[in-house]
Amino acid sequence: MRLRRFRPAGVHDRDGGRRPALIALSSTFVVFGLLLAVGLNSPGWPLVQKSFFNATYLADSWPRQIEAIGTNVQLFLIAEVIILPAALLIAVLRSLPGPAFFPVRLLAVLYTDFFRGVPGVLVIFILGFGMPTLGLPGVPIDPFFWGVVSLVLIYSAYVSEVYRAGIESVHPSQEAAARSLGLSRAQALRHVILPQAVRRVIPPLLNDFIGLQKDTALVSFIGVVEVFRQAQIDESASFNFTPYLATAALFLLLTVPLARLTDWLAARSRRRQLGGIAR
Amino acid sequence: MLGSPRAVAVALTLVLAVAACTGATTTPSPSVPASTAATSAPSALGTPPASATPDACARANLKTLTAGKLTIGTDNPAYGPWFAGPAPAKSSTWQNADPNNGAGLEAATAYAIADKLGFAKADVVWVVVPFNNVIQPGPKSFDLDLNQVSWNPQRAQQVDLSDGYFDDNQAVVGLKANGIARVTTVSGLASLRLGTQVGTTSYVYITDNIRPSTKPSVYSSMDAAIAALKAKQIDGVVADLGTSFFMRDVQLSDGVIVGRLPTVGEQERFAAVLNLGSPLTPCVNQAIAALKADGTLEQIRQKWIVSTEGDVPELK
Repeated sequence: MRLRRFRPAGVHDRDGGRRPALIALSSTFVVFGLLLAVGLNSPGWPLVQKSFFNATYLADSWPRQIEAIGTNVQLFLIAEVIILPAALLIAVLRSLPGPAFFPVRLLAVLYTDFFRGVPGVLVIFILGFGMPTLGLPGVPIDPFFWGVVSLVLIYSAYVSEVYRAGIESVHPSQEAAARSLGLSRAQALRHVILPQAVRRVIPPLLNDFIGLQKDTALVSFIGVVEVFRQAQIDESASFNFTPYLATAALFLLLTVPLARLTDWLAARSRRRQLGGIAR
Repeated sequence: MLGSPRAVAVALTLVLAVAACTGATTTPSPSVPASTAATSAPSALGTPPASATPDACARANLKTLTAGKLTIGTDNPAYGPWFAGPAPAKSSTWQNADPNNGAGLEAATAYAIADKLGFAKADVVWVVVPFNNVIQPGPKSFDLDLNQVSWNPQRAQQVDLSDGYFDDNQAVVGLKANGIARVTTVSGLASLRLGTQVGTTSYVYITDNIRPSTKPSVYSSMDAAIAALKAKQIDGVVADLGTSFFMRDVQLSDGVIVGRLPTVGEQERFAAVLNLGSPLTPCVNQAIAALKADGTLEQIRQKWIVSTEGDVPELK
C-alpha cells in the first residue's frame, strides 16, 4: 500500500478520499490518549496534581499574576521600541565600507561580541546594582530603568546581527544598479538595500522579540516584581507550584500568537518570492 | 512526493514519544539513590539506644535514608550564627562554615537532636540542600533539614515540619547614615522603601503588618537585597534576627539593626523539615521536646545568639 500524504484532520486528499483525515484523527487520539493515560496512571500523579494543577491556588494567584505581567509587557514594549532602531544603526555601522570607517566597524563588532557573549542576568545585575551604587548625581537608581537599559543592550546586539544578515543577503548588484542610476551610497542604502533587507528578516526579528518577552523575567533579579517573581512569591507562601503554571500560560498567551504571525509572514514572503518567478 | 517521508517522520516521533513516556514511569526517581541504603551495614552495636524499652523512636527502629546514619541537610554556604566555627579548608564542600564541627545554633541543635535519637556525632552525615529544594514535593535527599525554615500551615501540607527549635523575630536592617536608623516605631517604617528575599516570612511580615505605601522590592537572595540597600534603591531590609546580625556584622560596614519587629499572632519559629509523612517526625519532635525541657535549647541560644550578638531594641 502506498503511504498517503499526511494532512491535518478534515482536509481531504486530492482524490477526495477521507482516509488520510481519519488516520490523522485516530492517531492523534491514540497518541494524546496514551500520553494522558501514562501521566494520569503514574504513581505520583495525585501528588503532581495537588502541587502543580491546583484550582484553589490558581484562583488565588491569578489576579496578582495578571497585574504583575503588566510590568513584563511594559518592559518588553519600551525595550523593543528602542532596540529596533538602535540595532539597525549598529548593523549599518558595521556594514560601512572603506578603511576610514574601520574604528566604527571595530566598535560595532566589540559591542555585539560583548553583549551576545555575556549572560544577560550578569548585565542586569551589574548595571542594576552597580550603576546606582556609584552614587553619581543624575544617574537613575530605579531598577526598572536599569532593567530596560540592560535588555536594550543585550537584545540590540542580537538584533543587529539579524539586520546585518539581511543587509548582506541583498545581492551587491542591487547597490551597483542603484549607484549607476545616480543614487548616493546613503540613498542606495536607504531606498534599495534596507527595504529589501528588513523585509527578509522580519521572521527572525519576531523570533528575537519573543526571546525578549521571556527574558523580561530576568529583571526580577534586581528587585522588580514581575510575573515570574510574583509566581515565586505565591509559590513560597503555599509551597504549591500552580502559580508557575499560570505564569507559563500567560507567557504562551503572549508568545503563541506572535509565533503564528511569524509563520504567516514567512509563508507570505515565500509565496511572494515564488510569485515573482515564472508560474 | 513530500507525503511519505513526512508520514514516516510523524510515525517515528510518535513511537519515540510513547517509548519515552513508558520509560519514565518505570525509572525510579534519581533524587534518592536506592543503593545507599544497602551500602553501609546497620551498626546498632556501636552506641546502644538510650532506653531499653522497645519503642518506635529507638535508634534500631528508626528508618533513616542510610541505615545507621542520620543524614541532615542545610544550604551551602552555611553561615552564622546558625553555623559557625573556623573557616573550612579550601578543599571542603562547605564554603563559609562547616556544619560538621557542630558550632553555631543550628549545627549544635542538629547534633543535640541526633544525640537524643541515639546517633553519635560520627553517625551524622551533612548534605548540601539548596533552600528551594527543601520545600519541593517528592522524595528527599535528607532525613531532616535545618535551614532556618519558619513553620507555617501551608508549608506543613507539603512537607513535615517539626516543632520549633528556635523562636525568631523579624528585624529591620538599614544604613547608619540614612533616616531609617532613627525610626523607633513599626508605623515609622510604612513610608519607607523596604526589600527582602522572595519566599521568606519577612516578605509576609512586610505586606501583612508593616503595609508600606511603596510595594516592597523582592530579591532572589538576601545578598541581592543587601546590594540594593547599598545602591540606595531601598531604605531597609527585613530579615529574621539571626540573619540581621550577619548582615550588620559581615555584609555591611555601616549597617545597623534598626530594631526587632514585634511578633504578631503566632510566634515565629524555626522547624526542621522532613519528608511528608516521615516516620521520623514524631521522634524528632520528641527529641526537641526533651531538649526544651532539659534546657539544652536555651543554653544553645544563649551561647550562639545572645552572648555573641548582643541585644536589639524592639520597635513599638
